[in-house]
Amino acid sequence: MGYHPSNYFFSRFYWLTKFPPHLTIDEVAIGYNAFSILKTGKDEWGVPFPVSFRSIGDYKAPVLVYLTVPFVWLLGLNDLSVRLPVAIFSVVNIFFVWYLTRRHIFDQKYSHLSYLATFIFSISPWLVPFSRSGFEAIIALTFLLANIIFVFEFRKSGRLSHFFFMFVFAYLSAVSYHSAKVVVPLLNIYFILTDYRFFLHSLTGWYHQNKVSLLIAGVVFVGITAFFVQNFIVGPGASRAGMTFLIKDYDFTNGLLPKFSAHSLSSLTSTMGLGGLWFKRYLEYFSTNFYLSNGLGLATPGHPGQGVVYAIEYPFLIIGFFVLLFGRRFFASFHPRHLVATILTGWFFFSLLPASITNNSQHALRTLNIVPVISILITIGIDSCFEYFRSKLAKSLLVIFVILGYLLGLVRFTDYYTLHYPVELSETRSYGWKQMAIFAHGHHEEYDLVYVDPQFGTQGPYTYGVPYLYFLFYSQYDPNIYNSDPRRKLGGSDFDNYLFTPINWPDLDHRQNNLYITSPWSLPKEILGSSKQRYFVPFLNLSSGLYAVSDR
Amino acid sequence: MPKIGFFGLLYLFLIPFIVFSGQSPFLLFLSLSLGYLLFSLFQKPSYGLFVTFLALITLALIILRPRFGLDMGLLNAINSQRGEHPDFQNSIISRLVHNKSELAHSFLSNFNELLSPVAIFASGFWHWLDPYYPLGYLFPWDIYFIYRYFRSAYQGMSGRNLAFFLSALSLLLLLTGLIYVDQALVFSFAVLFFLTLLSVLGYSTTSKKTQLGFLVANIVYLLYHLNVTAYFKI
Repeated sequence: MGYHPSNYFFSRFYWLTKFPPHLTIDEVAIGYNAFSILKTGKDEWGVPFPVSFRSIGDYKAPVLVYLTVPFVWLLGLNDLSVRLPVAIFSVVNIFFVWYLTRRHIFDQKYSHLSYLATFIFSISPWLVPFSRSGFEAIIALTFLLANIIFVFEFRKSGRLSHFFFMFVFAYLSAVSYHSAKVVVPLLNIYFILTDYRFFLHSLTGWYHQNKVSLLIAGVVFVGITAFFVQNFIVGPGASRAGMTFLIKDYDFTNGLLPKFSAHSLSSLTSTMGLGGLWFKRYLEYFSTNFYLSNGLGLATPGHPGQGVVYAIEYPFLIIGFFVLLFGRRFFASFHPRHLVATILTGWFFFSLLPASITNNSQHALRTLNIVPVISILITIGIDSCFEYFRSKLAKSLLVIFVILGYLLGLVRFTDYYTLHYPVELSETRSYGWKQMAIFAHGHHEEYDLVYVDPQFGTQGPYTYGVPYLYFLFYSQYDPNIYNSDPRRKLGGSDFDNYLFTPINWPDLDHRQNNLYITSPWSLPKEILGSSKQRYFVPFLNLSSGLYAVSDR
Repeated sequence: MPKIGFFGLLYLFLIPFIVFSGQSPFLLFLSLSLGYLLFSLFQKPSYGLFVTFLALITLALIILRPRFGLDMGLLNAINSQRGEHPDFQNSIISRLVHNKSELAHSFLSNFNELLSPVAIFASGFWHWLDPYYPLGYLFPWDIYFIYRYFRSAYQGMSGRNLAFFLSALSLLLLLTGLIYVDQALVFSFAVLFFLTLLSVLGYSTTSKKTQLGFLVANIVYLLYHLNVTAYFKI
């Protein structure tokens, strides 16, 4: 059941463009940049084949954009071509988890558990939402899994080629998503340090066997490392880390710092406060609410939501965690058993680090690298309980209990993901811009100017979006023209007759025939519902929406 | 009482949740007694101890007169989510998913405030002191000592009868999540004291030098937090 491909096909590809119902701003940015690379060899800013893609206020990791290019070439620029690469990689992840657990994690006696672990991984609520949207973290996870597979292959064979691939996949993972830049190097260094005698022994062996290969591998290693550090650690790729680092967190800047600043030892108290805040953020990933209540954020804050695991899995996760810390019997005996447990433990704890040193608490996406370990721990927990019971009746009851729990969990997750998530969070997930962009594309030539207000929201101008990318994306605007537009060269986002600027109705010249795409609070009340209202896209919770109105 | 030595005893007296507890001495004593009984049940199952434990729980409930209230905000949110379903009155899914069992989220929220790892080790006192101040009920390094205890005791635990212990622990956890946070402290502190005792046992397995080092660290940690929280005038 667990290894049946229909499982994976359904959870990843079925109605891929319908759920979630609209592309996020990151997805349209990835799609349009891939389109731009395909047409011009340059990104949306006119930079030829960039290593990091300049975005709004930060730089995007490059791998997903380049991976999307062939899909855009094949299918055109649309929702499917943007989502398909990630969905395909998420299926590759499932295969890698099966291979890893089958070949390297579970002992021969427990090899059947690899199917259960793969099944649990494939239906994980932590994974499914991110597999169905353009999230770079899924790609990073694929390369991380390949990296870990080669860690074990190298430990088994001691071959230079395995070590080389281990290192190549480590870098591919690190350049695919920002949080992998922390997890992957730490995990690999940790592996080498915990088994350094084996590494030194291998190094000596390679030196004696083939000095030239070792030299070439060494040069490649140094070259790639220098390139990585220059572009992704200290270069533009590091801007995202600077923006999201814990020191910018609201709790620190507005909660702690003002109180610490007047203290006679303010530098000490601030540093201690920051350390304490990091520790707090790290431990928040062990809180029950993250796993059971609201870890995925599929509902309005304060409403019941969906955790990152199914409720039935949680007790087994705790048991599996204890077995990982204190037991060894499940793990492959052809590696030193402590090595498997050590790597899994390191993987578990390191995966929570990047999210804990950045702002926002309990971030499911930034901790995505942990999901394979979580699936393995749940599997171990289930099997431990199964072995604990002696009688057949108790075992059967456990199996029935687990199956029913999973069925209920799946129904609940599907309900939240397909119904409540789109409805409750449509506004914060930029719902409406796609429809507006398509409408404007069909009518913009009828107007002198099309004003688009990047501020929107039910209550007022509290959300600042980046709508120009939606208008570029859905009009498939020629990147050559866009790149060479003088307004773009000055850093603006306006193109053709579109102007992206906050709309202050009384200040605008209404003698022309312009179109205004904005929220209701920036328009005179008498216009709403009048003949000047050209189009309206309500948010799915019907709280408000986006309006297109014209002067005439 | 297991042998914890002089340093272990000092360690016990310095635990932050006792120093900063804010509880009345009697309620604190009740919590410590419940925690100690729980610890004893964990060490060795005993019917007599379990009955004593239940008697103390009853006493605590009589004194506290706990308020078990429906979380009306959550109930409204559940109804609102049910209403998001098309044809919600006849939908099986809406009945299956959005019913009163969802009130468990309120339980989890209470439980999270008092007994999640983040509350225990990093920020449990937020509602006493300051919403942002990172001070836990136990010392951060108690995580290591608890781990150390379990690592040494893991092998011996497989054959141990934990029925009384698990019943007692479940009762405490249930009460912690079910009643209002200010009253639930009595029961959550009992669990904290149980964890403290495990931690002290783990601490006692380290060398004398390590014990002394951590004792000094505990004192410095407490003095630092007493200084900062007094400065804040919270």
